[in-house]
Amino acid sequence: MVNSRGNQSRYWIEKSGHDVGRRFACIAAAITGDRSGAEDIVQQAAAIAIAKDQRFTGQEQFDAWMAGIVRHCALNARRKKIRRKTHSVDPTDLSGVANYENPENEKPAFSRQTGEICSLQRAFDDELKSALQSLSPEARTCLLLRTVENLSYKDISNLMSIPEGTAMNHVHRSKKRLRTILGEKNTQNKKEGGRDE
Amino acid sequence: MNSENNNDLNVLLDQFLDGQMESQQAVVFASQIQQDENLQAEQLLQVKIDASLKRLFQFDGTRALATHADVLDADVLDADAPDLDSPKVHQTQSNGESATVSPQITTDRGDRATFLKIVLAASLLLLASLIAVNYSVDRTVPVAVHFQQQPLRDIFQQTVDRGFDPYYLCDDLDRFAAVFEKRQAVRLTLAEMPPGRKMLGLSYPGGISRNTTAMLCRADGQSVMVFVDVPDNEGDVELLQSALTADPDQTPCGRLNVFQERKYGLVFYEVTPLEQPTMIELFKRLP
Repeated sequence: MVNSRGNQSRYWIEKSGHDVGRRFACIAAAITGDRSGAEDIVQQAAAIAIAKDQRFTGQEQFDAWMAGIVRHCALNARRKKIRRKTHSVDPTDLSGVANYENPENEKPAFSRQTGEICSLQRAFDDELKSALQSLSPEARTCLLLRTVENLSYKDISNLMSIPEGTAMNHVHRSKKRLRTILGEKNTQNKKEGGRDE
Repeated sequence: MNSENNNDLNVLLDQFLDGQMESQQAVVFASQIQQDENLQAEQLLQVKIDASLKRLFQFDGTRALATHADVLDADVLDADAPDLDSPKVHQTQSNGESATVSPQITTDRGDRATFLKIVLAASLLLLASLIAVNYSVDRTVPVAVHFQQQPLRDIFQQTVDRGFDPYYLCDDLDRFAAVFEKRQAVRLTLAEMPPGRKMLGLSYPGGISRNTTAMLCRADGQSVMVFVDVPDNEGDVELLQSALTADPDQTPCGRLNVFQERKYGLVFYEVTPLEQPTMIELFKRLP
């Protein structure tokens, strides 16, 4: 199961489909708490994996090993981000968040006069992103792998190197916590006479 | 609905939404949701959260893994391949979360460490160079303190202007000898003073050299100074004996005489308003 160059890691990476790549990106985004840069983290992890060249008995074993590297790289990126005073924001993210509830809305995310973020900053996605920060990186990863990637708890357990029960617990607790936070915010918005969710 | 019931319902709702509920139980729970407004709200919120999560974190996948395998060159990367088998380091992040990481993967930290090593090495090299230069300068070119000889009459006049007070009131002849031994390498003492002569003390006003030792005295009611130094320091004798810079007629001391005498391997200059040297003869050498 070795390719012509004899590099096992490269072989398994090449063999991995798009869905595997998506999972790794999802892990990276979950740990950093932000999707921007997640794919770069996966590529960095892949570079490390190829350089390391381990031997694997199957795709599952490789995925678990690779997921570990992605986690390490993402944690490093997260630490760097925490130390950084300012952060760049993808403008497409902002426009998407600003307009998703009302596609007809042509109001920009920022006021052209003052540069201030418009009231749509309270969009649900922003609140969800903020609420996600209250979860631990591990819990966030389990939640995203389950919700976004529809992975089974067994697969999550394999990728995260944790027991299935722990993965399930993380997902359920995270969901409940998000509902609590966002439910409270929703009630608060209604009281303030703001946007009705 | 109390909190315990709430928790149970939340668990059931999670199981229901997560597809973990058996089909028969799911049907029963679905009907329960229809009758409970709170559960309906919770369900709607969860659906909304799930949709938002997918929108926010759904990746294409083509860019994440598919492309780099063609781009990356393992042979190039082999050079700085991290060792993932090495002992893991348990770190606490700045937000209090803990994480186990392999130090080799922390490429940024590695770069910084390398940079610090280079800075440290450069600093040490610079320090070593400075020490070496300083050492060689010490050995080859002794640093000389600037000194300029002055006419002894001028120094006498300046001393008188300042009150003619000695720097060191030396009453002990042993200490007197020790001072000259230290500064001129010859133990000197004073013979018994004849009437009308008095040693006031020692001073170090320069004149011949930085090491010149001067004795302030009184002779026949006049202020007299004796400068003692080694002959090698004598330098410009003409300058030393040159006339007072100021007009002698306008100075309190009036006209001054400078007498020179060599003895005991030393040179003595007596600056006095008297016509004859009166103090040099009193200097004696101790064995």
